[in-house]
Amino acid sequence: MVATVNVEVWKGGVAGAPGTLVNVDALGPPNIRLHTADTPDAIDTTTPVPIPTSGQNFSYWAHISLNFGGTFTQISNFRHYSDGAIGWTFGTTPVTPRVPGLYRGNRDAGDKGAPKANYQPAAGTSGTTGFDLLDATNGHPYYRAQVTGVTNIQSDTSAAPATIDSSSYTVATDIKALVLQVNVGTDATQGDQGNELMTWLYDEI
Amino acid sequence: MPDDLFLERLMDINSRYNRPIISHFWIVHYKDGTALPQFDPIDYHENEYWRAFSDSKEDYVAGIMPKKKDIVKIGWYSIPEDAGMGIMKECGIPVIPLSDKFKEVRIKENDEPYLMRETIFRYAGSQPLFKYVNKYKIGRNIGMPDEELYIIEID
Repeated sequence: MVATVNVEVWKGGVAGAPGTLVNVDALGPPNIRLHTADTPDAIDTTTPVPIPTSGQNFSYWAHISLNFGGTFTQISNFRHYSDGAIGWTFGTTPVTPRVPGLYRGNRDAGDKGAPKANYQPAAGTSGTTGFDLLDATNGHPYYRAQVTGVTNIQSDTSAAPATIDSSSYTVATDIKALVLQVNVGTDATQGDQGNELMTWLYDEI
Repeated sequence: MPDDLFLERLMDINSRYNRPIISHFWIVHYKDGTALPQFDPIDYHENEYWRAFSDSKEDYVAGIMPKKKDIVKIGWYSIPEDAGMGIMKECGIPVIPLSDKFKEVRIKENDEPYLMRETIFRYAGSQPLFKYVNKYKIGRNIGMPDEELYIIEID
């Protein structure tokens, strides 16, 4: 059969074992929101990312995966990209630890997605800031030790999508998760940001 | 690019199914003149792809493919409108007959026939998510770079 597929977010739980896998297909639009809480499936304005008076504030990171079900012969080659122009008003300063923007967890080699065994619950100070993905102590263990542990999602385009999972699967599964986080600067502009289109690609037979 | 009417139909259909919309189906042809279509032309039930090569999915996954040596042709074909209705009813797979494009490839001895469809799945934007198969790939051998494959693009 043609496989069933839905976007899901992983949240809660403990390292290596998300507590809840939420199908977000029926939410929104949009289907996902970044908060300063581990609630990427809450399509509302609670716990926004506040504009900092100094430094930067981060959203809690979000694990975003695809769930496949039904019967099928093989699925493979899972890629992801943005429209190349995130229109959110992140601000531009300060530039440390990095220019404000929307970032994806990155690996120096191989697949960019985090396997479920490497899941790390999002955390931080709810309502204020999440931990930076690359924080040496509280960052995401699957990414924080990489030379280039994050990539601006604007670099992932239809012409150059990120390979999230290069595995082939022959039974129902969740694939590796894309990990997203936003950081805002002191000159960001307050307000509900517009919806940004994201795209998955995969092969099936 | 898809026009507004096409996008409207996609979204309407996507809201009722959790599988991507398809427009084409495969047929594997054998040297004795028989063929296995993805969808049965009488009752529209779906044949899984492994059946074209093996007696069980376990054999296919293990690389045991006794039928492969008998394959002489593979192809992607546009789904006729009446069959599309049957497939949606029987299999719960959304279908939009989009074009008359089709592609067949002759298979030679020792080839590794390659058929694959690429699904595009858009989400998180300002419109409801939608997913449809936008490329149907076909080639004489697995692992060929895309530029050596024949690809039917749906856009």
